[in-house]
Amino acid sequence: MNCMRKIKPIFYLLILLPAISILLIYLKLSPPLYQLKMQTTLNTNEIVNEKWFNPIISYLNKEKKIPFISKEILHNSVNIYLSSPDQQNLKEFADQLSSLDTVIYPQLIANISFCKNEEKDLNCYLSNQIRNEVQSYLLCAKFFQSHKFTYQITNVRPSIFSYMISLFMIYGAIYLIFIHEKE
Amino acid sequence: MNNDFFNKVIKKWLIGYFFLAPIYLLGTFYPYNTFLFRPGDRFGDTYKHICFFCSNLNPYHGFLPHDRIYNSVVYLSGIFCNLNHYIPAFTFFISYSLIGILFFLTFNKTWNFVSLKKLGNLYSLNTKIRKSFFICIFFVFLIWTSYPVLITIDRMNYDMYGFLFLYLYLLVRNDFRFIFFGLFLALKINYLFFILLPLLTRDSIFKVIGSIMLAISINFLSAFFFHAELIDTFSSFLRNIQLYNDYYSKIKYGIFTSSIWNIISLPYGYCLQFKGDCLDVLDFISKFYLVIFSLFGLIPLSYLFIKRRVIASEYKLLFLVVFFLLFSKTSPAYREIFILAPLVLIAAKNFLKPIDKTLLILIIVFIFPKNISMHLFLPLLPPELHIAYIIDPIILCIIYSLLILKRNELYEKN
Repeated sequence: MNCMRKIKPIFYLLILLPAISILLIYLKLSPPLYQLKMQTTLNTNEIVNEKWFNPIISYLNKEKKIPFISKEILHNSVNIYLSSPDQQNLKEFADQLSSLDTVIYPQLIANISFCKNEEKDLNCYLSNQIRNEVQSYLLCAKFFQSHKFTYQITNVRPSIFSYMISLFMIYGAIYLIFIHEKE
Repeated sequence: MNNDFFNKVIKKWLIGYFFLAPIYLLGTFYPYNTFLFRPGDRFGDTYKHICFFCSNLNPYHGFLPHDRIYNSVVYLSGIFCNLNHYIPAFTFFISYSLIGILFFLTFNKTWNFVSLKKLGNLYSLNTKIRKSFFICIFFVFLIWTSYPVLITIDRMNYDMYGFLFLYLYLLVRNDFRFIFFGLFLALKINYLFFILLPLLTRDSIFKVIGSIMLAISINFLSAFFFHAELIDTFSSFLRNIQLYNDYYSKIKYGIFTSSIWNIISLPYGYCLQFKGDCLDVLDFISKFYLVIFSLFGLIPLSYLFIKRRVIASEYKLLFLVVFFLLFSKTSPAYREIFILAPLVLIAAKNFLKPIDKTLLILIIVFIFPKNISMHLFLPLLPPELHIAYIIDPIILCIIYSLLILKRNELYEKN
């Protein structure tokens, strides 16, 4: 019986193995991960620092379309710009942003034309805010395009080591819940 | 529950709720009536996130980062991008119907009115059993269509799955319940508070650690599907949580109702309306909130741990849920769905103590929709500020103080 008790965890592991292998095959079919390597020294954190923030602000002020752009919006637009999977021009970038916008806030955007009383109608106020945000994103896109930042993407997958850690944790969890106290 | 109490009190309340609420609320529209949220944002809590995931972006970046605070496991539903309008809705309504079935089973467990054999010919049962069967159906149906459930459907929030897994953890008696508990913890980061629940009910610490490990590993595996680096994903997730707390604790928003922070932060809202800079007021209020939390939150919680051997489990659950709703700075209306678990567990008892009856009435008043704007009575106030914003925390405070003051009645032996 003692021998059986020692073998028991291995027995459970053997049952788990097919499940793990199916999971591994499934993960292999998952979309690849992207690692961004900027050819310039630019990265997302630096651009929000003063070194990059001021020229962008001065550029946007020249356009005179939006009086102020917050650091948060700038940070987000840089992230969208960097995390887009393929090299693309301004038009595609703008399309991507506008498609995102129509997916997320279809009703609000439709209401924009009816927004006259901004103070009383919260929907109207929000839709105006979103329109401003989209405009500022597009301006940021123009800026990136005019300064010709280029970036390179390499496909990477998480290492087999990190898969194994998480699978081992699942096994550990099942061991603690079902087996540990019975032994 | 005995039938007299049901007929005298609960039935009248529920019928009143069922017929009066629509007449009361459908006359006005948002933001004057926040019974449900903005129609343009319906089902947004699921679809906004999935759309972002499907456009091959890191979900934690981009538009409104303070709203992107779901754990990574939530985004797994985005894998089915081609069918993204059907699969989340399908799983959501399956879990919704499962909750109703589980409520029914809870009543059946103690009242024993239906076995599988007898279910076929219901009218062969004697009148008393048949009556209790119909009372159960009526009660389940009305809880099922109560305000917290409706707002959860309107937002299509993942609190529905969270509630389902927590309820399964409470119902299932074998070790599988810790798997459900792990799945529950994997859904949102603020559910970590409910780790106290198995610790209070004297479950084995190893099994609790096992379910925590399960939750972590599920999150870790699901993050591999993102179009981003792992470290970037987790760091921006933590940043978004901070942004969320900063953003939603400072605004007056119709859907964030049941926290005690609502009442405490009223002077800040008043100040914002008439002055521009109110950071000093906010600073003072947050210190005051900390004092209230440590005095009225932590001391009763520690008492609960000392007396955990004698206090009945449904009261422990009620205490934790009320604590969770009352003392978190942002507790939206859809999170009130968690109070349905102690409501059903208390209502399904065979013998109701006087405190049970009081608690049942209070909870039913709590799940009654009270979302009518105070702007209609006092035009100075903003339209989003509705009555529930003040009444909900007060009802929760009454339940909380009842649980503390009448603690001797909560023992299992009484």
